[in-house]
Amino acid sequence: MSKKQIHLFSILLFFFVLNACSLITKEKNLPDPSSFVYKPIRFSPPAPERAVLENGLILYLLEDHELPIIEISALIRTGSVYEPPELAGLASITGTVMRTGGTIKMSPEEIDEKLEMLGATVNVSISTEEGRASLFVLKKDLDAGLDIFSEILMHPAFDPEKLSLAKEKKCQALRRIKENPQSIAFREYKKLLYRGNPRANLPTITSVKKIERKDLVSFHNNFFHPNRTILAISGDFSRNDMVEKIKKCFFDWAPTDQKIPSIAPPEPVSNLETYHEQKEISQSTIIMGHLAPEKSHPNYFTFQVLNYILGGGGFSSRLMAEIRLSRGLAYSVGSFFRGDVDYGVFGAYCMTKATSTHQAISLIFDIINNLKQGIVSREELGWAKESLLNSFIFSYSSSLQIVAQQMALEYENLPPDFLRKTPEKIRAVTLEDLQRVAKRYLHPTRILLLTVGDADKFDRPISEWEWGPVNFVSSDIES
Amino acid sequence: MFTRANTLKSKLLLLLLLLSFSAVQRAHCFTLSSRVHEFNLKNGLKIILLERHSSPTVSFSMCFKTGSVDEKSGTSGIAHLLEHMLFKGTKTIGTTDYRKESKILKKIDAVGEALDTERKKGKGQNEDRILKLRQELKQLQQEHEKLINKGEIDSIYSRNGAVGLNASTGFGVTTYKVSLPSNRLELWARIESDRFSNPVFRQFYSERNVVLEEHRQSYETKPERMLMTQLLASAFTAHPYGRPIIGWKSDIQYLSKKVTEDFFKSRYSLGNTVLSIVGDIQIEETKKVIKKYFEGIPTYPIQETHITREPEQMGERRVSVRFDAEPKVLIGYHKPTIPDFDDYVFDLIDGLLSSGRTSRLYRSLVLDKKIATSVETFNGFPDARYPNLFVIKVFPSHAHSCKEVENAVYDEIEKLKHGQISRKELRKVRNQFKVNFIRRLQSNAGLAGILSYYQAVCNDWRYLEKHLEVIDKITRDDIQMVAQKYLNAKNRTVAYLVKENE
Repeated sequence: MSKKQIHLFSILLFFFVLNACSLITKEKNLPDPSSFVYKPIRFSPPAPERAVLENGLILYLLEDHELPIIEISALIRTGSVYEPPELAGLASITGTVMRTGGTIKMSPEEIDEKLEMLGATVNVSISTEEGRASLFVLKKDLDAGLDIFSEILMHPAFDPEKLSLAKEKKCQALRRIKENPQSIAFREYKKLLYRGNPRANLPTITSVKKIERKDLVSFHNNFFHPNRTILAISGDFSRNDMVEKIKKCFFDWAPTDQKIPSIAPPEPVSNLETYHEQKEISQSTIIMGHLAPEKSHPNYFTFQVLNYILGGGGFSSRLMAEIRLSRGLAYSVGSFFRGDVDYGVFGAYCMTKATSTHQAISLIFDIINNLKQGIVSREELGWAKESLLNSFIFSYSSSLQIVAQQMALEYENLPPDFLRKTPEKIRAVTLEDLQRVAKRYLHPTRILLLTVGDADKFDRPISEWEWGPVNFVSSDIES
Repeated sequence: MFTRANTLKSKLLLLLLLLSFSAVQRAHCFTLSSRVHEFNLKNGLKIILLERHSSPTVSFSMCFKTGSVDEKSGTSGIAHLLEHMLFKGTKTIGTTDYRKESKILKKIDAVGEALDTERKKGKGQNEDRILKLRQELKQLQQEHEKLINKGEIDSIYSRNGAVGLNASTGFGVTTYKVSLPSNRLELWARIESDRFSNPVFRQFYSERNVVLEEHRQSYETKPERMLMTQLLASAFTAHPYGRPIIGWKSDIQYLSKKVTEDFFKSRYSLGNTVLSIVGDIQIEETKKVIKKYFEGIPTYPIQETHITREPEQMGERRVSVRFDAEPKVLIGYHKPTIPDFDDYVFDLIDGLLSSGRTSRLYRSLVLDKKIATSVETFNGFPDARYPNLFVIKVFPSHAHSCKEVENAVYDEIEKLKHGQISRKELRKVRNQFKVNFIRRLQSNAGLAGILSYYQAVCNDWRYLEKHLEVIDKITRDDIQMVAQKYLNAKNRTVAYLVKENE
């Protein structure tokens, strides 16, 4: 292309030339990824509306008219922490049979036929510290869906045949835990971390077999009340219509004046404790961890950043970078941190071949110790904070997510602006905060270490481990 | 738990998605046709854009029409290892000084290759030489580490707020995904265009060990996966669906960097690729950015690898895996793939047999006979690029045998072939397809994945929309004819998982 042409057709050619120049063909033309300047994102997430019905049922509502669907997610104040230890499994089976066992008005078969004909779904589940229920339905089928959903929450019939099926399935699921080393490890770990606390009561085949219909009836009566339930509703509806419909469906659901008992938080371990479960397989599963700050703790967000740097932040986190990227010792390695209402749980995990078990554990200890000693760069902290801040926008990806997390804040007794204030809390974390919190809340000497694998093949005999003495455990799925 | 580059797991998820997912309701307000914007670059890259402004985020899915089926014998697992290597950076990402780095890389390659050559000798290997080479390799690797930024693709992305950065290798396609705040479009184009034109396969030997750990984690210690692997190996004696995506272990441990590079050069042409972007984008601006970064990447014609066709199965095949685990049964029948009419019929059969608590197999085996605790079926297993299987998976109840549940499955198949199929039952399954379609439209990332997948596999993402039209036309006679044609003893492979001591 000659200069003359450019001159003659300056405007047109300027456009083309610019395009041609900016067409990238060689890597040397590529801009430095850190050189991009981004337009700020202006986005104020829609705010769900809160309403309380006369019987105490709390609603969070958010309209979204993009698709002709309506979704409800509910939280109910209950959990397996409230089941009698000898009936462990009762809470989860109650949830299952609420869904499968019919209601006073409709048989199990009628419910399934109706829902499946509409392509609607209803689920109920009860885990350690909460009950959940959900409804997905097309807008046109809302009345039918709501009718079944509300009846299941208020008047489940607990059909005996469906109870025996649920028990059989639960027992099968328990037997299958043994097939998966990671399932074994996390089950055992939960028992060890929460020992002496109701959270450590896990179902066994014996406890499940003892569960009877009357136990389900009384568990449901004790825990399912409108003033202990919150509904998060999103989708293609109008606010007033929806509130009226909900009022009508849940009209005769009577509130309780009983207070739900509170459950004490678990106790921390006071020493390094090591456990091993023997299983003759080629790869070991390693979990090591301890209690950590709860959600309302002043250092919660700092600990979150700390965990991100240690092993929660993907490939660039320390555990991943060292154990996977540099050494090729694991496919899965990292750390987790979950803040709950009155306690938090932190841990590191790794799956590595039997012959590198000792090496991997040593590396994890080294990496935790390093962090505890406060060895963190400003650059690393900057990366972690930016990552958490820039991805924060994904907390508002869907209407259901927005409305459900607002509900969850109320369930956890956190302030309604907890989530909205998260970015400023993370932004405020300093290097000094991080060092102080690492020193105070990482406990490599008061940690619970568990391995599942084949000790005969370990790179150092388990009897010679510096983290001993090792206690041998075995999963008691049966009793 | 954080995992990256899952092979079968992601594949199965995709498959489940594929199965539960189906057609669009044409009459419905949200038709894809009216909102999808398509174009091609001169180098053949196919682009599908969909604007959706519900949140300021955007999801990307880049689907290469290549996978483990394109591997040569003896190099099984190379497609998956390559997918891992494509997270290692480029000449400008992941390095502090590429010129210096490339010198060490050459040395590492030479030592690594010498070490592999010696190890391959097996019993006749020279132990001293192996030890010496291992030490040499380790030293070079430590030296190399000083010149690199480990995992920089990941750290740039995470710093910019990415979620769901991942890739999955399948038998037929390999997909790279990420979601970002929508103002990061150009950053994405910068990284991905570089990654797929100037990749550097650094840390090759440690990554190969990572894949071996993945093999231990996902195959060696997981009885159900072993059973799946054996079902496929028995059902496909000639076609590459008989090889696991992750590869046979004896192949993985010797995969070479050279073969990995060759696979990249011969299979990752942009002419073989679909990119879909869904979210808060402006079409014209997005087109401009894509052109700027991708149009200059040269393309080359893909040499179609000859894929051995699976010969017709001439009789039932049975296989078993003994392991300390609860019994399981898999039954697989050969069948054609999309867009063959019979494949649509199998989608309906899939729904009739196992979708929901009122489905035929669930009702019969779990509710009435009480001999199983769960029943699932999969159409299009393990992949849709070539003729594949219709698979039935059953977990027997405690104290009931594999044989018992297998026979109960056959009773239901006979009823399907010769019994009644009510209008209501058909309507139920069709409704479920419609609703599931709408459900899948909810997430940007999910939608981007589906659009790129169907475009790659069917050469037209509109398969999604046409699906329901075809499903609506299928008659009871079609279902019975297809059931009679394929669901026969001669055409099936049965795999049992049995307890070690039985």
